[in-house]
Amino acid sequence: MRVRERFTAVARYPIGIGLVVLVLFLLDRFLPGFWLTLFLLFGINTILAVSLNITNGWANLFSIGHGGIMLAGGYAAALFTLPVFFKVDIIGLHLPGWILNAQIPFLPALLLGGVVGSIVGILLALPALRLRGIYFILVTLGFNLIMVSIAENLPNYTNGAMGLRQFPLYTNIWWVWGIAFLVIYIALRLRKSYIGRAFIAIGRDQELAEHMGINLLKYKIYAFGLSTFFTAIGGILWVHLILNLFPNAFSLALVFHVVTMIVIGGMGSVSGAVIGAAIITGFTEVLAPIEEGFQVFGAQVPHLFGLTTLLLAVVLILILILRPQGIMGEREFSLQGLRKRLSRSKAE
Amino acid sequence: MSTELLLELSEVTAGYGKMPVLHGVSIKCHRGEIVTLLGANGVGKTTTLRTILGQLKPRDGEIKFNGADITRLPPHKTAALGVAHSPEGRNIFGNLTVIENLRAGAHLLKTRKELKEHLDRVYSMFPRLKERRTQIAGSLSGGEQQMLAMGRALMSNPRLMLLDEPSLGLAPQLVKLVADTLTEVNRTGTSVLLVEQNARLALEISRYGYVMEKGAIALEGDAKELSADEQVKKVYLGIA
Amino acid sequence: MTYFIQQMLNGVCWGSVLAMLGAGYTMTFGIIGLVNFAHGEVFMAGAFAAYFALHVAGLPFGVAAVLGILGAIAIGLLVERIAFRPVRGSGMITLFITSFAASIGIRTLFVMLFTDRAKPFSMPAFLKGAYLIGDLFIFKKTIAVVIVLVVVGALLMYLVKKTKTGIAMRAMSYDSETAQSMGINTERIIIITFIIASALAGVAAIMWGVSYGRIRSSMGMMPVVDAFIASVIGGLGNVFGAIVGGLILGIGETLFVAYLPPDLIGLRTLFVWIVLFIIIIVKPSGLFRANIK
Repeated sequence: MRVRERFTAVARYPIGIGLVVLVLFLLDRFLPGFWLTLFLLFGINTILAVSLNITNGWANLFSIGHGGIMLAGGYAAALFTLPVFFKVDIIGLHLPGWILNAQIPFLPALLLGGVVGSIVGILLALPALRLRGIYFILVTLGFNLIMVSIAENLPNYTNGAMGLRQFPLYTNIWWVWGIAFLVIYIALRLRKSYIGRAFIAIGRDQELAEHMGINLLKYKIYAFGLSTFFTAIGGILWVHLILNLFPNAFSLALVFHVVTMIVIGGMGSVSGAVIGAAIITGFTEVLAPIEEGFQVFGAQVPHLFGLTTLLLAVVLILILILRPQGIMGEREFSLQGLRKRLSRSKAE
Repeated sequence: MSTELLLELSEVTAGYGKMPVLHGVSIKCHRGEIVTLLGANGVGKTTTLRTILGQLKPRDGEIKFNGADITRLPPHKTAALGVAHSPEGRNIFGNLTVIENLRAGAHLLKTRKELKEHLDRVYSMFPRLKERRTQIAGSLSGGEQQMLAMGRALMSNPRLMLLDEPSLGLAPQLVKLVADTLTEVNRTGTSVLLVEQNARLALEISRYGYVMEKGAIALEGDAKELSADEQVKKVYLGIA
Repeated sequence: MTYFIQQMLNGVCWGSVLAMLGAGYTMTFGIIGLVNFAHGEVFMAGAFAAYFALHVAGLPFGVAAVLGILGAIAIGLLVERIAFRPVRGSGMITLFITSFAASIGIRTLFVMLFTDRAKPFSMPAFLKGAYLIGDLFIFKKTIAVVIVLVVVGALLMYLVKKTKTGIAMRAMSYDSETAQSMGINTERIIIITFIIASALAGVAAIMWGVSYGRIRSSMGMMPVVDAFIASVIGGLGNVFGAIVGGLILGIGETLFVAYLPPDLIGLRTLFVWIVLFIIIIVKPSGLFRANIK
């Protein structure tokens, strides 16, 4: 018996990982294009939601500027991954030669973009964190608007509102879900570690956290730096999937979608963020064709762009009225919890 | 002095979170009386007043005012029945001037005539307020703020005034002014439920008293009897 | 010099819009203590109501203006009912998210129904044209906007300072619980505040329509931020302060854009954030006394 227990305890990890790798391989191989893209979007949204949860959920630093972070990271990576002929000949960017003539593989681009996103995030956080409550939110909003504005108004560097195209299709299931699992793993480990518990303490009661000896500014900056790093990476994965980067795709509507994910899932829960990402991704993609307009019984229903956002707004308000803690509240998904729940309802 | 019952709390239990703060509190205040509620810090005196007002809903028990059940009435409706409040810590509107504070207290009045009459009355009780009537209330001294809080409560010519720690932090002559004002106000027909830490002052001007301990009434009686009670003398009057 | 004064006059038009928006915004902020993101959509709805009255129903301008204000009030009360009342007392983040959701929801709905293309807002004949003084064009519409600003502003100040309701509103902004124990019915005051604030947004919408001749579904998105910043400049909850703040922002932004080199024109949105930044650093409580604790 004991040998068997030890075996499962130790072998759990490689077997688990092996299974996940196998599943991903099979999905990659056999899922039709639409479903595969959907699955990838789910993964990207997971990355965005789990990282947003670190600041907005755990540390209670409600930022709505992550669109701007994604823009920063996205451009930083794109300017190095886009083919040279595009940068030079087609859109004629006025950038230094070493940028224009470079085309780097995905991993360094991801890391570069992530770091840029993180730095920008920290630069935003440093002044913003001095402000309380609503002023903080307002400044992050302004940041997002300003970033979009800058991207649209500096065509020599960013190609302006016309955006960037000709992206190499770097994003695939391994990048997306590899990183997604990494982010989930980091978040779950963080939750039990001192840093993570410091974040949560700051989120629950700032003053109390300070009295317990937590350096507020330091940990808030950590939270921001970490969150924005992965947010930027999520953005980079996204543009290398949809193969374009338009500044106004990163405005408030996008921010709003990610906020909805963590609210539905439960602000403060990593599993909640994953669940929220799944729901919103599914919702969005199901509604996308309806938005285009369709035929029903021979009558043409016109296009209804924005239907998704509208319905999400309604859902968000309803959730906040009826179940403000979201699906998971602040708890995490656990097999024991599920088993207990099932046996409890069986006993009733 | 009429013995008509104005305010009656019957077995009121109330609290903020899981634990109730008040356990079965029963208090009676008759028309024209000054009744005092004594006790150490944190025993539930302020909570009692808040529950009467309706800022806190009781979990059990009943509160009657003038025969009407006000147990679950929201604060503004209780106020409309003739209950006024001078809260602990004054809670004057620091962004308004003195006269605007008084006018806020007069919110329930219907005519300009009433407003002017009551204003004159308050000014005659507290001449200092008249002097400073255009001053921003947040810049008044502690004593002046207490006068303003009381004056504001009087603007509606209430049947019952709930006062929470009016003497707190006041210099002796201001304490005397508060006591005299209360006595005068009572003489003209307003009943008073007074929460006070200064037991000596409270028992001097009251007719009846309740002593609270840990959220329940531990002792009650005529003010004179309470003053002579050994327990009360030792614990609350500081006489060994 | 003429250019400067000309731009200042333009700025007064924009400043008046922001003053009306800011005044309404600061009132709701004072009373409920929360940011009403949907105020921009109340503004936009008022403009659309007036537009429909003018261009679809062909009604005279005065009637259209009144309908515009009523439309704004209707949307304002709707927002209060669905996005604020059900979550009252839930904490700032929740209230912010619901108003944010309401804002995006209403805006998206209008874009879906009416697209985001600009719609014309025609000016009545008596407001067309301008007076020429030397090199200066003083548009009749500018004069009209200023007159409306002064009249509405004066009425508003009277309401807020002298009437029983105004005192009740300001008392509530400071300490809602104590206000209740004076007999002030806070639910009623909240509704009244929303009505007045929305009506002001409606006035702002008419001012906008007359000044710029075009409206669109997304017209509320930026001005609501300006309105918030105007409130911050003036001191939160202070109606006079918000009016002054709105004028400062409007005139300042117009001058900023007027003197900006043409290829940097896209950076106009930066102005309000610069002002916010300055105010938060120099005098975060605002230029005038705030009405909140």
